[in-house]
Amino acid sequence: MGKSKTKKAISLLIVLVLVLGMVALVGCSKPAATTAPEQKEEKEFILIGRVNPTTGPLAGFGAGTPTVEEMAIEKINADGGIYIKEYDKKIPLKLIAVDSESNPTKASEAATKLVLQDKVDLLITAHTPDTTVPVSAVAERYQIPTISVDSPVDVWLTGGPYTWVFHTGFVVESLNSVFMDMWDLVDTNKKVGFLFGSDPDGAYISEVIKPMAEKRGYTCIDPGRFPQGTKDYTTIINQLKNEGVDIVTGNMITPDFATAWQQMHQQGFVPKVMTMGKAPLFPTDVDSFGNDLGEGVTTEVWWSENHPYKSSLTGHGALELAKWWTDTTQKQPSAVLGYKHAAIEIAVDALNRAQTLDKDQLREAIKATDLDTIIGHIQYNDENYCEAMLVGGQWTKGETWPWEMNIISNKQAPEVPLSQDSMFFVPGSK
Amino acid sequence: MIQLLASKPFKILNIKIIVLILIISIFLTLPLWSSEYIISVFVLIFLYMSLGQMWNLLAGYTGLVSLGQQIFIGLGGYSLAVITVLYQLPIALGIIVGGVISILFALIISQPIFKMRGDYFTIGTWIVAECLAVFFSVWTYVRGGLGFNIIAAYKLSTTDIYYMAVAMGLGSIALVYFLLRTKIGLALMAMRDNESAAETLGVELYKTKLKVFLIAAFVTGLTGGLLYLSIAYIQPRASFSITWTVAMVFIVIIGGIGTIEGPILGAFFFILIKQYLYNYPGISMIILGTVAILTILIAPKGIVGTLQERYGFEILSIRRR
Repeated sequence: MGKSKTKKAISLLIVLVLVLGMVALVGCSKPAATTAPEQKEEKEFILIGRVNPTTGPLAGFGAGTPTVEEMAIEKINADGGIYIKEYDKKIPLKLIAVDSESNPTKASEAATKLVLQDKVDLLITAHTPDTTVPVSAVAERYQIPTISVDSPVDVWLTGGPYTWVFHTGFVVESLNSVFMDMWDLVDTNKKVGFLFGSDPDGAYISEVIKPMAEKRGYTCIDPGRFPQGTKDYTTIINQLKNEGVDIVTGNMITPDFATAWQQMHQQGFVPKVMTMGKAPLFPTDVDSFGNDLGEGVTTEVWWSENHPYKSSLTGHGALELAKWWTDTTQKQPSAVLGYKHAAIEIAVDALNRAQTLDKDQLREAIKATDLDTIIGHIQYNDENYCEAMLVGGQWTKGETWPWEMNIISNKQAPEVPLSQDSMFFVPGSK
Repeated sequence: MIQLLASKPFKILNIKIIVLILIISIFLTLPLWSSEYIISVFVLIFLYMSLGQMWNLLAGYTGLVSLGQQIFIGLGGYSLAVITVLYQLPIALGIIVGGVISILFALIISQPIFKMRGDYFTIGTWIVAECLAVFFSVWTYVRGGLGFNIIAAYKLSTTDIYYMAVAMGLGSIALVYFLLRTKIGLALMAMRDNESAAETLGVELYKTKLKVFLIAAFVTGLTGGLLYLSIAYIQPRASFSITWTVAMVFIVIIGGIGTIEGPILGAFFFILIKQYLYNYPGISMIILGTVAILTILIAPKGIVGTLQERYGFEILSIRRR
């Protein structure tokens, strides 16, 4: 009995030592972590935190980070970095990328870590509302100047008003207009079936598109929203089939759309036009549909190697960036490259003008952005966003790459050249 | 008197009290001497500790292996969002409403769900959670899939949330400790070891299970509210995601199922590993999974369970003396 109590006492002491050790260990990180800029201690890097969906269903968006950003930063660092007046010297940039695992909760936790532990001077967030909205919430809470790109403006705005975050993306009305501009190019019965998921962008876009489509003479058939990960679309397919729709549109993550599109083909329902947001944006995603099912699928295009814009950092055009990407990675370029590069352009431009890491001044510098970038001109409005223009594209089997994108509609951005091939119906449609 | 103070049991009791006071003092004064990042990490540790305690109370002491505890995290989070965003009411009310709605919902689902036993109960709870995720995705009152930015939470500092998390974490430990020392505690362990035998001895199975299920729902609902106070953005897919319960299971398995100390240690390890793994984007889940598998292989009873078995280690004993 006495022996066991001695053991207990020893165990207690062990636990005490463990706990104290753990607390002391984490406590030790304090001096480094709380070094404030105004103390003017040596600062090795200007830290840019980047939350990216590296894994999970949004990994297609995340591909290219941190390679693209680091290439852009390399150019600045080769000249010694950016002059910061409180340190009276040039300081190089350093990117710290973390994975959100395509999960909004993780995106929030990861951004909190970047702000509180890594003490980043600036945050960059991108790629769908699942990443941009939670990271923007963290930025507003901790008052960190933040550059957000690549997600629908309207959905991002639902979390506003924003003071610290500045966003560049398309507005949902533009997205829907691009879709309809493409539908207008071909002869259909003007019946549109909806295939919108219940994620933030799917929920929002589906609300906006219906009145817009009806105004342009289209009839909408809406079977309702469905959650991510749905495996059986039979009920929806039957409804759209029975209604005899010629056009199907929606906004889905890639694995879900692949499942739905395969089931449509299996069940003998192939619409003349399949216009899908988000899922078929990248060639790797199109390839994942299998059995050449990507042929004829249309979607929005935010950026391509044919966009006639130039980088403010390198002076190179979209084609050069795309070529650099292919030479570096042996991979096909995709629309995210331009946005990843542009986010660094905006950050560098603001830092160059602010010449300080003072959060308020840096925020004001971002707000005053008036810059030609590789994705076009960036200037924020009173609601802290800059609207990006879209063009419409159609996937087809290619010669250089398995899948290539034809630009078939450019009403919003006539400066983007159209491809030689015109829009065609999805193979197998009747 | 001096003899009593010098006696062995009293010395051990003294050490226990000193250790507990020391640990509590460290945590209560943490914001005074530590960085904001460390405070934010401890916010997560205490909140996950509370979640782990509740899952352990269900699975480790009552034999109710639920894979649907995310139901109450989602309800807690959404209650906070609706109360503060749609009605502009105080945060505290949002958190309390979350706890109350969780209890009410648990009461409603208990009727059908308790008719299922073992694996069926486990799967049943998961299905309810998935149904809620779908329902909230299309429910326009809660903005469907769009979700809410919980803007009221921006005003709170990390220290404010930290003290709420400390109260939640330590409160959940105290709750389980005292609950297990009551008659219900005895009944629970009897049920866990042999349900039929317990029933024969007069334990009311349904009532006892229901009480524990409701308590766990209430505390998990409150914790969900606090978690979303920290995250500040809620949407259905993430809030009703099974990853919450997977985290609870991980915490309890690593720490030691059926012990009060297990979820405490488990929450520490889980959050510290997770924070460290943010530096390794893309492989964090692989490492976390490997740690869980290795623990199950090397120490199937978890860290605390193994220490108890080999060295009789115990701090929060629920044994009656």
